[in-house]
Amino acid sequence: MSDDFTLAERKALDGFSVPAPSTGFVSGILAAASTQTQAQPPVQPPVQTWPRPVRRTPWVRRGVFSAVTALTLATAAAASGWLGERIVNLPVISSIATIVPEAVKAKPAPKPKVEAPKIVKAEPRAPAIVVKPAPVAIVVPPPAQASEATQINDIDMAPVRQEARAERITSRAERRLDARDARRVARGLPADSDAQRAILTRVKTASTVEERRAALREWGQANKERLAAINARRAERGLAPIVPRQGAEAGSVRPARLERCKRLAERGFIPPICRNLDAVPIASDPPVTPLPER
Amino acid sequence: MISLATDQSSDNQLVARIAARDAGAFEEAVNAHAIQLRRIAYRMLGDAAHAEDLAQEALLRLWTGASKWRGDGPGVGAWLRRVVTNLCLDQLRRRKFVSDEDLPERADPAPLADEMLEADAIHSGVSAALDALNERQRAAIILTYYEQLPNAIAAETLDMNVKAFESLLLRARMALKQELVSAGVVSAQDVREMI
Repeated sequence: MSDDFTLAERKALDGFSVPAPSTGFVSGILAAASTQTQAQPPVQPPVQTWPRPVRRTPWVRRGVFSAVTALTLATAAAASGWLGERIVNLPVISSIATIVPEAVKAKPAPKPKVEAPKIVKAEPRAPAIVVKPAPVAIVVPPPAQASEATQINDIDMAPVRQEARAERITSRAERRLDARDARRVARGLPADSDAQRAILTRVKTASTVEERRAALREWGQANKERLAAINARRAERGLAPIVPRQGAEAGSVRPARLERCKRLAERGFIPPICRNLDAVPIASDPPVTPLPER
Repeated sequence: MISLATDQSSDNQLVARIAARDAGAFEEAVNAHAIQLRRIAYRMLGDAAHAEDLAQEALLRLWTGASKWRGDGPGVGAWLRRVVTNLCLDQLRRRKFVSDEDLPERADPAPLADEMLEADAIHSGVSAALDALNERQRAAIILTYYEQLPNAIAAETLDMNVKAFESLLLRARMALKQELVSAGVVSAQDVREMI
């Protein structure tokens, strides 16, 4: 193991000694364990499973990547006909390719030949009856099939997709508003009225920015009116009015956010919202409205 | 040096007792492995305070995770070495192991002043040379040279196969030799004599 090192090197490496542990090192570990024990519930009986993480070594990754690449290239080559033309003659593809034109050519050819002699024999008896079926039966079907295909390709799917998207957005908005109602009820607040729900639905289903802004303005106005009504009732009961919470002034930061950023920084995480806060003025906290006594 | 021979059944019994919250069993494990874990962490990080923290972290993971112990593994010692090595590698990758704390006093009686100066120079030179290696190379040297672990166990600790570990160890040795010469701990003549 260490035979590859020279004597001088080994002497130097041995000089990298480890200082003695601090006093209380071992007892500190035991104390920490006992603290954790008090904080945690008792552990369940031992389970003999310790799943090893599934690791993909570089070779496995390369193998998978190569297989996927080869499969993709082979599929593309087969689809474009490159394999059949240049390298490998695939019997299945070639047989399919030859059957189709033969079948198309074979159908129209024999029918006129068969019908022609019948027309000749029938002429003296009833010429009008014999002549009619031959041209009509043979000529009509091919253009009919072509027109059906053309009609299918010409169907405009855009309105269908648009309708499906609108339905999706509406149902999503409904789900979110239902969840909002459930949260409000859980907190002891009344669910949104029909009028409020209609405004919020417009906010959530707006297809343009302008529509959304208009709906939000409407929502803000409705909230102001509702707050005015609440404050009027509070004034009648002699309570202080509720002051709506205002956002921090532009270019300032609230003390609560500073605290959160400080806690995150202690854990070694500084999100973008917490960067360069030293030069930013601190905003004052909004006044807190006392809750009514019950 | 703590005996590295692990008896699997006794390890399983020990961990079962730890899982049942037997403080005596945990103390037994701490007494058996704490010093070695601290030694590995110190040589990986070069910082005594962090080394003690990581050794404690590894042992506490045994305490909290004992209920998930898999009995067919290589043993408690190997598991703890792997945990502390991975913690050190994480620390080194984050480059957050700088500590302003002084190292604890040595227990040995102080040598003469010139010997102490020379020992300090060698200590810091080797530390710098190890520091110049990448994290996995450093771990390979520490596990095989300082901890005298066989390649198979060291490879298991680093979660590598043996062939890959031997290749890593070879590169680590070559790099360390160069760094020792660069740090002035070993003269180039010594190296040439060896070649």
